[in-house]
Parts: sequence; structure tokens; C-alpha cells
Amino acid sequence: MTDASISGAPKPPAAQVSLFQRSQQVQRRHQKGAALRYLGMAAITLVLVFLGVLLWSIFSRGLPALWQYQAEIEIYYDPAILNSDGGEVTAEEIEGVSLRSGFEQGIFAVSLERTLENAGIDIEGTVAGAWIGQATGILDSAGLENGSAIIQSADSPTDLAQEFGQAGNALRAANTALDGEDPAAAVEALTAASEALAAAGFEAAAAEVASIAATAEGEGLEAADTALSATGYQQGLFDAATALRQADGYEQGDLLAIIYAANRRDVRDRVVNNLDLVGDTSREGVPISIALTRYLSGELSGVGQAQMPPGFDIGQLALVDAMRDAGIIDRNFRWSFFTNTYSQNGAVAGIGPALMGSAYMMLVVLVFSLLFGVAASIYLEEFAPKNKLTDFIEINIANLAAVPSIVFGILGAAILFTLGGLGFGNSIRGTALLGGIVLSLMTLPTIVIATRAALKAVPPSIRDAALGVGASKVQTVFHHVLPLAAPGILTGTIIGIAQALGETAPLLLIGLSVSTGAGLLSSPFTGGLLEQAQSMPTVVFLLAQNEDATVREGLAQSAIIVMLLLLFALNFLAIMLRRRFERRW
Amino acid sequence: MNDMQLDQRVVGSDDIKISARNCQVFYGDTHAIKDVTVDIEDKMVTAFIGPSGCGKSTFLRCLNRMNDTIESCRVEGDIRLDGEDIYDKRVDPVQLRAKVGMVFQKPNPFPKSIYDNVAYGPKIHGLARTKAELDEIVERSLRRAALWNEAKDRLQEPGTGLSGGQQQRLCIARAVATGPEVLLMDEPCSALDPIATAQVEELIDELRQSYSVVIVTHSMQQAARVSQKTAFFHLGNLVEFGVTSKIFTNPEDPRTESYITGRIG
Ligand SMILES: Nc1ncnc2c1ncn2[C@@H]1O[C@H](COP(=O)(O)OP(=O)(O)OP(=O)(O)O)[C@@H](O)[C@H]1O
Ligand SMILES: [Mg+2]
Repeated sequence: MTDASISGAPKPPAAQVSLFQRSQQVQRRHQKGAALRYLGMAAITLVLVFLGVLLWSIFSRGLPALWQYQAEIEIYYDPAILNSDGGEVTAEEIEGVSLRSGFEQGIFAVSLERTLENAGIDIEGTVAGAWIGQATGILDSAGLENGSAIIQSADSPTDLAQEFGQAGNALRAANTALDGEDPAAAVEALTAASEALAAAGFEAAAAEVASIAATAEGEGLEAADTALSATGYQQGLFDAATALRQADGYEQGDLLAIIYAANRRDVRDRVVNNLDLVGDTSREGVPISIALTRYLSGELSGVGQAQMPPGFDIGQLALVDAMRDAGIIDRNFRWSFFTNTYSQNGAVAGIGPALMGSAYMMLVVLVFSLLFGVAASIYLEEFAPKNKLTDFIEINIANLAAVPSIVFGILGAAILFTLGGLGFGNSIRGTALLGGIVLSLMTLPTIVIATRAALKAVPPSIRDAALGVGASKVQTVFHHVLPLAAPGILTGTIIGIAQALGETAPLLLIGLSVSTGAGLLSSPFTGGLLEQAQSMPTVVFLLAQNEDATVREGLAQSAIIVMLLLLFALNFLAIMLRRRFERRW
Repeated sequence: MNDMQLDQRVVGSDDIKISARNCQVFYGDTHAIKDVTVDIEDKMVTAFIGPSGCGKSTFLRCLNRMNDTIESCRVEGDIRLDGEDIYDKRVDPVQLRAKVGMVFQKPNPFPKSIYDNVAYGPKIHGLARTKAELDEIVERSLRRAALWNEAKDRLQEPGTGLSGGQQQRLCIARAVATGPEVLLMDEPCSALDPIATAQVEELIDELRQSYSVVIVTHSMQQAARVSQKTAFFHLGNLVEFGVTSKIFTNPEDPRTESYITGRIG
């Protein structure tokens, strides 16, 4: 009606809609499109945020842990210990030397002390200084004046501790007497305490206590008790005495505890492998106890109980400071992380055997699952008759891909137990071969599915072309179809392998987490497939459970970084191979 | 009358290359080719024409057993090449396809170099002992397919980088490289421009000197130009088969007439 009145004559309505004016339908379509676009952008942002948080949390904690505080020690291989009979040195003779008394105390600790002394550090003086400083601080804060002068003029800190102890005891006796009913006894005890303080050199404090005695006589016991408690002399004296008592208590063990002491075995191996070292020296970087990391990095100040690294005292911290000032302790990249074996001790834990174990397993997975996977896929896709049986197989392969990995682990364990029954279960337990086989089973369906999809994606016209010039079925597949499917197959394989690389549960079940000290663990780079192995994911699993937070939150992340880098490398390889093989048609 | 002539020729004649008798083709339950009997003569071009979906390609593919690759396809009847049943159990389709080459409707070069595309057939059939021999076969085949001049400087470039028409000629070169006795061509010119079409037609005419050629085409003119015999298919039936000039000028069946005059299609 309106149309008619405007134009005067009936026209097709489309002719009147301007192109510049959006119709309602188009507008709705635009809205839907925009909504979808924003949704997509939101999803991607969310994913990026998650990824960023993940990477940040891993790298911010894992990267610093790859640097380690080490002490550079000049180890002196004392012939008096290693070659006690004075004749020719033999490996057997050295191996006969006790690890603890010979290597740890005789060589390691002595070398450590020598290194410090050569650097001009007075070990005992440093320790004593730390404790004396501590005692002085305590006295000052307890209101006991000129404490430092008193300590300095004393001949021996131990004797002084004795005097402080006596004065403290006298104060405690006075305190007890003030709680009692007898004013005369209280005054007497206070006077004795005042005398003890004066004997120790604290004149002002002695006078103070004497005045408290006067208060007890005049205003009563209660007022005196309050006044005495307000001084805090008693606690200060006891604490200072405790600190002073440790001032000349330096022991070798204090220094050894700073360094990771289990290196005695390394030291022995080194000299056994190189007998020329006997009588000579070598400079070694030895990791500092992991408990000190947070102190060295400044996270813990070392002042006050809460700020002390667990297990260390201020004498040791003074030694650490001195070593750091002298350049003995330094922060170095932790190469040993890549060669050492897993250990509960974070100072020496490493991923060497784990890396090798994982590499071996990847190799086994590559060979097994690529060979069997591709062969199975080619048969199913190209040659098998399409019937109920092949349908059944197909469905089962698809189902297999969804089977939880732990089930494959149980299967591996079952194999292990069966072999155990036959008598050689132990020889295969925890080996890279068994791990690889279990992971292959897991990867196989992934590879079969990827390969079949890749084979299916090859255009039938290529098959026709090959058959048309008289190629046989096998020639068609191997000359034309397979090369065209290769990028897809490779991608699938690498994804499968990457998946296998990160798989933990099945490996835990077949014993790849227990370190037995054999095989790959002692010689990660020469051992073979049939040696006891570790794997990256199981080592990450173990590190992440360490009781030490420094390991849990540092080294575990470092291992994860290595694993991630491996995965990135694999993916990069996949992309490169795909580029290399990809063809247009 | 025509039928009688044909029958006479079959008996004791050696210029029948392929003879099909009562050929039936089924795709599952679909009856795609119904009782087709036809003789393809040697050193002649036979054209298959007919509306889309009538079974030309299907029948063509029966002649070199390309239908074997289709799971649901079933072929019945008797097809003989030089008097030998090609569906006999003893026949290896590979050997058959070396003798009966094929060019497909859609150009389908291998994603390899031009040289490798042509050399592949001779290589797998062991037709060349030396590199020089192979080079010669490649050159000869490319020349026959009228592609040599365009391709001679880029033999190592991928065949898929050629234009559609060039690709089709490459496929023809690939098919003739194995030295087939029969060449089956399924609409070889559907992707070509008139010039390339003319070149291919010329080639077909030349191939006729030594081979028997079967060509499926939707172009009446092309059928008329290149073929000596024409077969008209309709809904899976072979409606009419005879000398090309006769089919186009004086068809016996009304369906043939209406098709070539453009009334059904
Ligand atoms: N692979 C197949 N599976 C099932 N049916 C098929 C298959 N290929 C062809 N057909 C059927 O067989 C019949 C003949 O097909 P065909 O390809 O031979 O026709 P055509 O004559 O070559 O047609 P066009 O001229 O369009 O190429 C058609 O009805 C088609 O649907
Ligand atoms: Mg067709």
C-alpha cells in the first residue's frame, strides 16, 4: 500500500531497497557474525592467558634453579692417605681407602679448610667473630652496657660465658627469692646478684640491682620483683653465654655441611680414574647445600630464628659470607643438572639418565609404533577387504586410542610379572626397552588413526593415475600414496611421540621411577636399552614431591623446562618435515 | 544390416582389438551398464557419446579393469583383448593396464617433476635400460602429446605447476610413454582450450596409426572430427553403434537422433 503510494506503480520491492541501507536480515547476520567473532577472540585471549600463566610460572621458577651456588675447592689428593705404603699407587689401594674418614675427612674437609685458609679466611676467627658479635648484640639489647668492651678484654669467651652464667644464675636465685616471703633472703640474693654482675664487669647493671635490693627493703618484695623482671638482665646473660660458648666450638663438620658432603664418592672416582692426581691438586666446583640457596640469594637474611636456613647457625653463615666475599662461592650454570642422576638431595639431583632413558624410549616408540602403525594402516586402508572383521578391528583401534595410559602401564606390569615368573623379570624391570614397548602400545592407535587419515586424504585421482599407467597396487601405495601421506603420517607420529614423552603413569608402574644405582644411572651416556633407566616425566614427578621446597618449586620446573624444550624441538621437527614433504596438486 | 556386418567381422577377423559381449556392470544394486555388446577395432578411433550419467566412463573403465578398484562395482559378461578374456583369473590387471593406457577426465599428474611423470610408466615396466633411452622415451612421448616445446626447458619442475591444458597433455604423454596398444581417453579435452583441443585431436589422429583409441566426449563435433566409429549410450544401454558419419547423418534410433540434434541430454 505505502509502496504504491510512494512510487505510484507496483514495482518489485527489491528495487526500492538502497544498497547503502542494510536490510534487517543482513543486520541480524552481521550481529551474529560479530558475536561469533568476539566469542572467538575471547576464547583465544583466555587460552593465551592460561598459556602465559603456565609458562611464566614454570620459567620464573625453573630458570633460576638452573643456576647453582658452587664452591670452587682446590682438592689435594694427599699421598699420605691414598698411598700410605709409599709404593706404587694402584686403583685398588685407593678404592680401599674409607670414604668417610679417608675421603671426606682426610681429603675433602682438609682441602676445604686449606682452600679457605689460602683465600685468607681465618676459619675459627670468623666463626668466633660471628658468635661474639651475636653475644654483643644480645647484651646491648638486654641493657647490659659496654658488653663489647667486656668481651674484647676477656681472655677466653668460654670463661666469660661461665661468668655470665653465674651472674645469670644469681639473678635467677634473686628472682625466686622475690617470689618468696622472706625479705631478708631476697635482699641477700639481690646483693649477691649485684656482686656477680660487678664481677663480670657490668657496673651500671650491678648498681641497678643494688637499688632494686633497696626497693625490696623499702617498698616490698612485689615492687622489687616487677623492677627486676623489667631489666631482662637474666635472659640476656644466659643468651650471651650460650652464644659465647659456641665461639670457639668450630668443627670440621660445620664447614662440610655448607658443601654437599656426599661428593666423597666423586672425589674417589676421579682419583681412581686418574692415578696421576695422587700428590697433586685439582680445582673442583662443588655444589653448596641446597638449604643455603635461599640465604645466598638473599631471600633469607640470617638474622633471627625465622630467617635462618634450616640446619645452619650464624657461625656457618659467617663462613658462607666469608667464602662468598673471597670468591670461593659463586653462582654458576648448573651443567651437572644434565649429567647427574636423580637424587633426593637437590644440590646434586640431575636428569642425565632420565634424558637418556626418555631418548631411548622415544627411539623404541619410533621404531615400534611407526613400523607397526604404518604397516597396519596401509594394510587396513589399502589392502584389507571391507568386511565385518576389518570393521571390528577398526572400531577397536579407535577405542584403543581412548584407553587411559595407566591401563597400558598395568599391561606392562603384567608383562613384567609374567617374565618375572619365567625368571628374568628383574632384568627387564625399569629398562628403557620395556618402557618403550609400553609407550609404543599407547602411541600405536594415535599413529594408526593419523596415518589412515593421511592415506585417505590422498586424492583418488593419484591412485587412478598410477594404476592407469600400469603400476601395481603395492607400487601405487609405495611410490605415490605413501609419499603424499608422509607429512600427515609424520605429524601424527611426532604428536604421538610427544604424547609418549610426557606420559608418567605407565612408567611409574613398570619401575622407571626407582633409582637402583645400576645401568643408565651410573653411566647414562654409554648404557643401552636393557639397562635400568629413568625417564623425564617420572623424574619430574619425583622432584615435584621432594620435601624441600627449593627442589619442589625450582628443580622440578627446570626439568619441566627441559621437557618442554624437547617437545618444542619435536614440534619444530614435525613442521620442518611437513614443509619438506608437502606437495601441491 | 550394420549388425550383420559387425558379426561378420568378428569371425576370424584380426583387426578387432577389444570385443565386449553382453557386458553388465553393477554398482551395488545400481545396474549401470546393461547388456552392452561392442567391438573396438584396431587402428581406429572409437567415440563414446551419450548424456551425462549414461555409463560411458563406467564402460570405458571396464576395458582396462579400472573398475576393480571400486569396491561395490561388479562386472559381468565377456570382454576380450586380442581374443583373450581380460577378466580371466590368470590375468594380472597390471599387465593389462600397460597394454591399455588411460587418460582421465580430470588432469591428474603425479606431484612430481614433468620428467618423472612421463618416465614413471617406462621405469616400472622396465622399458628403458639406460638413462639415455629413458630420456628419449620422455622426449618422444612429450612430443606426441604436443607438450615438448612448452616443457623441454622445465622438465624438472613439478607437473602440477602446469596449466590445466598442459597437465592434460602431460597425462597423455604419460599414457603413451608405456607404449600401449589401446588408449582409453575419458573426455580428455574437457579442460582444454580450442588450440590445445586441436592439438590433442591431431595427436589422436596420429595415434590411430599405431593404436586403437577409445574416446569419451561430450562434443558431437569432436566425435565427428576424430572418430571413425561412434557408440551412443543412453541410460546404460548401447543404443546405437556404427560408422561415425552414418550415426551423425543418418541415425537409426530416434533416441540417437534426438541426442545429436540436442533434444535430450
Ligand atoms: N563409484 C560409483 N559408485 C556408484 N555408482 C556409480 C559410481 N560411478 C558411477 N556410478 C553411477 O553409474 C552411472 C554411470 O556413471 P558414469 O560415470 O559412467 O557416467 P558418464 O556417462 O561417464 O557421465 P559423464 O558424462 O557425466 O561423465 C551413473 O548413474 C553413476 O551415478
Ligand atoms: Mg564420465
